[in-house]
Amino acid sequence: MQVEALYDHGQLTFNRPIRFATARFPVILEIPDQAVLAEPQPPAQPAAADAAVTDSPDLLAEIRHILGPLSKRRPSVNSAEDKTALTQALAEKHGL
Amino acid sequence: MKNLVFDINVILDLWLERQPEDQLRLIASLIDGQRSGLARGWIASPSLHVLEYLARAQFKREGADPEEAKDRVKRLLANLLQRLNPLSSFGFHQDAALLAQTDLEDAQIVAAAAELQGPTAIVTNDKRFDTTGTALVQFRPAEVSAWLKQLPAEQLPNEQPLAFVDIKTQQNAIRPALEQQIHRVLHHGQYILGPEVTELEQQLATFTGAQHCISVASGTEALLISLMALDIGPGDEVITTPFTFVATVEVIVLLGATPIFVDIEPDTANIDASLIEAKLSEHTKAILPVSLYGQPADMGAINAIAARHGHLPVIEDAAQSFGASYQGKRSGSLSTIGCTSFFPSKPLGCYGDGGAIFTSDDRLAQACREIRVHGQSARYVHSRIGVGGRMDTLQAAIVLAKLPRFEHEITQRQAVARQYHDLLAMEEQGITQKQKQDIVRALPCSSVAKPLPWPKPDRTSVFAQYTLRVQDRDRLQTKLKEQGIPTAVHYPVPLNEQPAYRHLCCPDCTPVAQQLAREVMSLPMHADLSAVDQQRIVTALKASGV
Ligand SMILES: Cc1ncc(COP(=O)(O)O)c(C=O)c1O
Repeated sequence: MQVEALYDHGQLTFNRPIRFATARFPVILEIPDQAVLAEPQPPAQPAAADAAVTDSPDLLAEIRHILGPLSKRRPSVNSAEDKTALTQALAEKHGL
Repeated sequence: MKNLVFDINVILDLWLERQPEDQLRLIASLIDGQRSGLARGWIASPSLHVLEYLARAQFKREGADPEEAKDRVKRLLANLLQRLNPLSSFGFHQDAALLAQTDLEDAQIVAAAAELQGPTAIVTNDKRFDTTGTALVQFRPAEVSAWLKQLPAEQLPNEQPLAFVDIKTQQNAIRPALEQQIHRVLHHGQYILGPEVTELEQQLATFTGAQHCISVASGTEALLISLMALDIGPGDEVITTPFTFVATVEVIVLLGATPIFVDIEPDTANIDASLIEAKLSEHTKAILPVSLYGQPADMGAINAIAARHGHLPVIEDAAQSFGASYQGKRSGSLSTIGCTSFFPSKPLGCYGDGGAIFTSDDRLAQACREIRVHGQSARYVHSRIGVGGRMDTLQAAIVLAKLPRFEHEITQRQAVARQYHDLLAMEEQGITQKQKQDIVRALPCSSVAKPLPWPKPDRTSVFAQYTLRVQDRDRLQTKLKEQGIPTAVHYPVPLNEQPAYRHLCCPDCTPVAQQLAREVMSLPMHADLSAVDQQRIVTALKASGV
């Protein structure tokens, strides 16, 4: 059924009294466009862990876009190799 | 939300595409985890420059133009910091970091990560961090998802006790702002009435809609200074409720005035406005309602009574209700004066004592400002009697760091309350006998442990407390405590029965307060209370056999 209601600071008040059979159920609301400033981000819920590890094409695409021509597949390396590279880079920076 | 601290090699793998595509997507999804509510992501500050050097070195080795490489890597870092929070490495971490078994860079990451509240993992690809002496764990990206799904030990049934109010988890969400605010104050050195105090007062005035906000040393001080500004003293009477924290009444008596206790409404536990007029006398100087448990008192009715009787000032004790609203206006700005508290466990708390006074009366605001600093109207000119009642700059800075998240926290508190309510209050709805039987069977507690009704339609609550009326309270509290569920009683004895105040009124004069004092019990309530913990609380309540 359709009913009119007044939204006031987080609460809905129905224009006529209704007795509900259950305490909790989904409803669909029509909110006037002019009453909405911006659609909020969905609140961070720890329960979302299930939706956990899905694809994140956005971040990967952003990185590839930022790198432009420098973006490419490379062989995997271990930490020791990273360390050596860092030592070299720092030595170069400090003129050693 | 659990914390993930990303090691350098994981970020480099992603940037430099040093893993197969599915691995890259996995890492990206973990880094994006905060946006999807998966986990809060961090990067230790000492890792940032290492990332910069290594990425630039890689591109240089491949023959890229150094300036171009530098520019693109800067943009990568900026992109990363949109997703991950920078994690501070403090000076006081360094001595211990130097003594660690691993290298300094890894030890710095561990020390920084160990400052976070709650379960924290370092995400790394092929390294072993020395996490001795910390509660940190470490995982490869592929192992993280399973860990995130695992319940932390304190959420497993009958494990560690829950907190009644958790004020530490919030720190993860505001840590960078918190550190910045604290360090700003340390740096400028204006520890009393510094710029953060003025900024906070402006922001809070805007938040409530009051013309003036005067920050003070505590909620108690806010009440005391307000009554002093209204010239309340010996021979005067102040109408108030006996069902409140002692500070409300203490300040009246301290000033030599007499509290006149009016009974409360059984459904809100706030002062019953319909009983006020009978208690007014020629000595009545003010009305001091309390917006208990986070729901404003019936301020419209109270203001109307005050207006009919010589425009008596009305002071709302909004210590528990800051952020709530009444007929579209914020608590604190609903009457002549509003007083609130930033005690750490309050809906908007600092990390010590603090409070604020709100008014739109210029003269009263000026009086409060002077009384707050020893009645001083100009340096060493003491125009009136005052107190040392300022809120210190550090506490103001902390509230400033918390303020941007406050609306979100109010919504969370209301959602937690709604969830309790739905689970516990079903009997109150208009339902058939059959449904009622089903529900009672499912939730046998509801007939004996009954929540206070949901806030009235013309107001909202910030649920400083979520309160039930229960039978056999002592036994229930003991049973819940055995299962690690803390509860609290606000308040076990109405003030007109307390030794220091009972000569002021007879206990039987306020029978509803007397009754509620025997029955009320509050459940754990805070903005970060997880659905799992809440379920544990409700299950324990059911299992307590009431
Ligand atoms: C209703 C009420 N009034 C006054 C106060 C006093 O606030 P504070 O502890 O900041 O002095 C409190 C807080 O405990 C309170 O709950």
